Amino acid sequence: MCLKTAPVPEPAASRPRSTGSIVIRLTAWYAGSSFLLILIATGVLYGTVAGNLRAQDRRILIDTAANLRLLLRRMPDAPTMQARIGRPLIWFRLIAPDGRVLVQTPGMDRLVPLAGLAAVRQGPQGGTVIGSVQTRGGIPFTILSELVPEGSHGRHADAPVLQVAIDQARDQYVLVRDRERLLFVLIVSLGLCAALGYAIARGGVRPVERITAAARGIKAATLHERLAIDDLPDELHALAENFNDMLDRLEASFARISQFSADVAHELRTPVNNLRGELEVALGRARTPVEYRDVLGSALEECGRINQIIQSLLFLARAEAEGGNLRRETLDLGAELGAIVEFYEPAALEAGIALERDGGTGLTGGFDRILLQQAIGNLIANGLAHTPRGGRVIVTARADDGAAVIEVADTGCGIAPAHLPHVFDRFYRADPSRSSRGGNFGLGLSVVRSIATLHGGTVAISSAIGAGTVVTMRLPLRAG
Amino acid sequence: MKLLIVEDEPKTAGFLKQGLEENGFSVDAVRDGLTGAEMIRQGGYDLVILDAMLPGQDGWTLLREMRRRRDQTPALFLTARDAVADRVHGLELGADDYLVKPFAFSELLARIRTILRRGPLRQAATLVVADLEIDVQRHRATRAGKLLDLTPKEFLLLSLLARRAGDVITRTLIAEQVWDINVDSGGNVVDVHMHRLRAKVDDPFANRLIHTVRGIGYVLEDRSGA
Repeated sequence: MCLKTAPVPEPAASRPRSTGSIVIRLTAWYAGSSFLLILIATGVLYGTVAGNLRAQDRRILIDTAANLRLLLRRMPDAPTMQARIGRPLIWFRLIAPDGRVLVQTPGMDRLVPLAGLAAVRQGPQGGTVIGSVQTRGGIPFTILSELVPEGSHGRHADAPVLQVAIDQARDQYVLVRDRERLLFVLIVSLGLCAALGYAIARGGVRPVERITAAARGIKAATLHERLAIDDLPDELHALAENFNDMLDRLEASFARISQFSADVAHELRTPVNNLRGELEVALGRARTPVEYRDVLGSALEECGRINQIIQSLLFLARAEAEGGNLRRETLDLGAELGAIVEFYEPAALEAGIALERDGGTGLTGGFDRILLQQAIGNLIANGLAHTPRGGRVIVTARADDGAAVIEVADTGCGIAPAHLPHVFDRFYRADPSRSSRGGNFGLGLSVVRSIATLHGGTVAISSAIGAGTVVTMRLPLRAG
Repeated sequence: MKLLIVEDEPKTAGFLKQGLEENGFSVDAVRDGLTGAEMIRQGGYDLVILDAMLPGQDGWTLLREMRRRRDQTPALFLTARDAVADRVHGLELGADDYLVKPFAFSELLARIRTILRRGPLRQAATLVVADLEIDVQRHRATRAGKLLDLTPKEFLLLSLLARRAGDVITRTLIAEQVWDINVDSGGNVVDVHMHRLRAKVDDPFANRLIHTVRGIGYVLEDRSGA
């Protein structure tokens, strides 16, 4: 026998491709969508402010123009008009058709170039043109130009043009400042949105991380630990619950396996100890060949016992792990029971027990012959072992609702109710003092149950102290 | 008869070699698959006993190569794995038989003899051991000329022992061959059967023919001369 080291597969190679971080994706979505909303809101806000300012300026220009028209009729000198208009940052002038400036706010001609005159002259009478101009110094002005009908002048080509200009620098300044503020707000909110989005995403994913951490922390020794379910969000509740259920099952099977290994070790300890002790004592001093022969024979018997335990355990383990691997053949239960009873009959006679068979003739079904013999043999051996001289062990078989019902009843000492639920467990012995004498390792009934299960059937036991025990196997009849 | 054992476990190889030599075989034993393959190529063996897991080259590969070379030397597999798939695998590759560890040495011996005989066992019409005579055809057994009153199963049991006179027959084999029963808990029951058979075959006579080999089973042989 040699151990072979199989190449361990690279974990990275078999790892499924990750679809990226949920946190990063959520953060991007949160930040992107809230930033977009803020962007739209600030855009609209800015547009409204700018629009309002523009509308306000136009209104001022139109009002001022109207006032000026009235004033022009009465006292057309600039200082008076300027005083009456009473606003800083507003300039006006009256331009004759030949381009001469008739009246103007002092210094206006240095600031605002003559512009827009052609447009207003070509427009309809009384029409107003509002436009923007840049001064030579780069100051933006909004300028209103309109023809002033002067008394008898019918042709508006001869009418002077009134121009009112309002300094936009202040507005521009306000708007630029607003824009800067809004940009600042936008940059800050972009950062805030990302941070908040990240916080929200992390908060949402944190329970998942907690589950992951808890799952990572669970090892064989801490299999009893469970996830705290109560403070989990609804969406993760089911996941965590299923996870805990899985842990329950794992813990149970793990406990079973540990118990099983401990039992195996314990059960093997006794025969190995016998073996060792016998051999040691035998080798302790010189003996006759007959004595050696005796010891060796005894040792061999002990080996047979160990082997039998191993066989049974392997059978049970395999039956559990692989499930059905039956070699079914069509059997006549009557004939099979007859053969088994015939085999055990002399042993029963020797023990002073009547071993009887009843029914089963003509009852056929598909069973694994060797396993069926094993199961019934175990039951008969059990019955014989626990029935006193003068008692009876009866094996019966009958058909019942598509199943073969095989019963092994004895008139033995019976089993206390407290033990009944456990008698099919491995290594369970109702009487702890009755250890592995007589080939009883506490595995016989486990094997019987395993065989019944492999056949898709069940096994049940009922017993009364002093009256006897009945083990009933129900195996579905199937053509083999 | 010359046998080759390819087995890396020294104790196993040791007792196999000793046991087989004491039963009249000439035995070579090697520890690893490659040496084993080399020895087999040189030829001259009547049977090869192969462990499934071996260093160098495992038993299955070794056997596959053998059969590819059309080397039909009988091969018997020994293995600690008794899954059905393994069993089938071994036989498919052309193994002649398959034994799962732990096995009874007498079982191995019987299997080896069966393979080497490659035919029916002693199918003589009459089996004779000392003064015991068994007429297989007429289902009659006599001892010192006196007819033995045997049940059909007892007759089968006695025939089995007589046919393999000198070989130790295990209880498991007895239950299988005579009663066609495979049970773990049958050992004591076989003892009871043997007890009853002996009461009829041996008890009335001075020379006992059926002997218990403790821990293994039973053997029928005439030990009066020894």
